[in-house]
Amino acid sequence: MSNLVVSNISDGSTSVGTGYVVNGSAKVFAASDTQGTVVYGFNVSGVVDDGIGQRTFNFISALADTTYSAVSTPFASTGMTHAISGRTTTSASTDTDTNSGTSADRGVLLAIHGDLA
Amino acid sequence: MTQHLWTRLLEAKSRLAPVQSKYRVLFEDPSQPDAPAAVLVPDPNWMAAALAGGILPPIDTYLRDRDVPDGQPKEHPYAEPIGAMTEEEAIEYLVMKDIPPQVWRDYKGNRAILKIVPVHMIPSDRSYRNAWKINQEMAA
Repeated sequence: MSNLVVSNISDGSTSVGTGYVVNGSAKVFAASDTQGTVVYGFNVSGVVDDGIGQRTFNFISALADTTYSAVSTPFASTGMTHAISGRTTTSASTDTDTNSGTSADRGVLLAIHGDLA
Repeated sequence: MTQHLWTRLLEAKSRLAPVQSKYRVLFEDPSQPDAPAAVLVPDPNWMAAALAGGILPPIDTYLRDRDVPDGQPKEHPYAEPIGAMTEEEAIEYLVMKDIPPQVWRDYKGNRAILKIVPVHMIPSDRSYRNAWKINQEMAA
């Protein structure tokens, strides 16, 4: 693998430090289907199907602390609510409900921004 | 100097085809006796990295990092990567990494609470998902 070592990226008039680009990218992302199978992902070692509507995504490379930003959305489904129900430096849990509040199995998209350990 | 694990994962994702495992790990957490059996599904990119070698850190670095407080430097990101694993070895590694030690190491009871099974043994009908338990007759 070859490396391009630069401290700034510029379009000719505006420049930004490469640290902002690297540190600003998602540290974890994943999409899992209704059975918990990971359709695509990055920095995820495995997904635990904890029950109806409950998923835990385990990270390969841990986050520095639990103040990271985590977003979970439905994967190819509507009329659902998603929530981050738990977080540690090594995993994040999601909860999927119908709009009436009943747990439901749906695909889950997860993205996490924050600092790595 | 060893590259950060996250950087190694980026490079690996660009060159390795994902590998869907033919196994799933069923487990019951003895600290949550009323919870249904959980199913651990390996990530296909992680499995590809495990089979390729030279990317993932030794499992004992993860186990030691469990005791490191949040915000403190962890050992696993910069640990020297290990070599290629078979799929079976990778699943054992994943059990130790992603399942609590009270399930795979500390449990002293008679009940089978962890079982590695082929994918087809996981029911596709999820009508009674929250009542799933490990079949003790099949696990014996």
